[in-house]
Amino acid sequence: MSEENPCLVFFEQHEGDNRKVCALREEPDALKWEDLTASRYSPGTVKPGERVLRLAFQPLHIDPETRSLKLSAVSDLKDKGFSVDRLSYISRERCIESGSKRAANAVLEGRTPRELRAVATLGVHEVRAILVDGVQAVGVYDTAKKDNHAHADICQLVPEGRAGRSVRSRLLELCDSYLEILTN
Amino acid sequence: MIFGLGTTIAAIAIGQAVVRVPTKLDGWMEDVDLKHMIVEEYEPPTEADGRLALQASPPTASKGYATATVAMSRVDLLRAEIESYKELTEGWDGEGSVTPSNAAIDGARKLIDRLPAGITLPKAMISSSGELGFYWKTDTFYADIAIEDANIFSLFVRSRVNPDREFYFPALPIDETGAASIRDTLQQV
Repeated sequence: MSEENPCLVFFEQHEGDNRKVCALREEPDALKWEDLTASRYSPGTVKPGERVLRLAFQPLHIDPETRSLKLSAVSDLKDKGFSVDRLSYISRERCIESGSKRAANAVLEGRTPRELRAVATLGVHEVRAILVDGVQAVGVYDTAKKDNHAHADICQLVPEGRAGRSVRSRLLELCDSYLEILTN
Repeated sequence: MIFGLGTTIAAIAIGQAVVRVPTKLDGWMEDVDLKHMIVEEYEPPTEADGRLALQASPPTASKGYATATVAMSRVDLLRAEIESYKELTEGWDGEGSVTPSNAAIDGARKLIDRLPAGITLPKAMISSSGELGFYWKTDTFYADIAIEDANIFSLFVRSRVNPDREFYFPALPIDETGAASIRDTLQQV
């Protein structure tokens, strides 16, 4: 199966690679791979009509003064992949519960203390409509994980430099427009 | 008329004081007792003034009073945030996340001291890949700075009024020339 699917081969080879998106940009067919599955755990490729949820943690992603997203909230787009959960396959409540647990475990795992503070729900068609110089600037891939089949990655497909900075500013703007601060 | 001009100048002075990073003279802020400067008619700057809209807050609690301590605390907070990045350890944001380089920290420190007067102070940011920088999000523009090393930064600016109007400078020096590029670009976007 994997030999017939270069997308799956690529994402399996780059599992755990925090720079997989940089390698993805080198693949000439990366945009076409949105139509191929990227994970053996995936329930299917990400369709334009789907909605995805992004978790935002404070202080890493949220500016407490303005209660809006920091630029660092979208920096994974260029290298690690901008992680989201597909709401067709996991509930919003479950995502929030999982994010809260991850935040609680951060200190135990030696990471910076954080608190799940906000979520942004994005339409996949809106994400794919982000253009830079008239070209689709990001791809959305069904990078399901063994313990989370709803996982997907949004990846920057345009090169670093002006185009990369432009697409990140546009994704930030999109996330800000759908940002929902959590009360508890 | 003279009184009106005086209050306008006072308003500008306080507006800039609230956002300005002292660049030329150490301790200039202490030389001016802004704590006791009274503004009778504070008018936020407009684009018609030929100046950037400032994030400075107009006097609120006591009519007409503004304090220099607000300005110092904002800059100090920015510096403190950069300094706090030095405390990060490998893996701070999960597996594979890295800390910023000493060169990037030094560059960020230097850039704070050279930020041009008269513009809103940016926010500091760090990515899990260790990239250090600053950004602005205002009603009229979005801008970000990436510290490339101790002496170089890159600048990206995009208008929010005309989102296709963008500026990008891949390598600007962290000195007065670079500061002028920031100022000039933010003023024309």
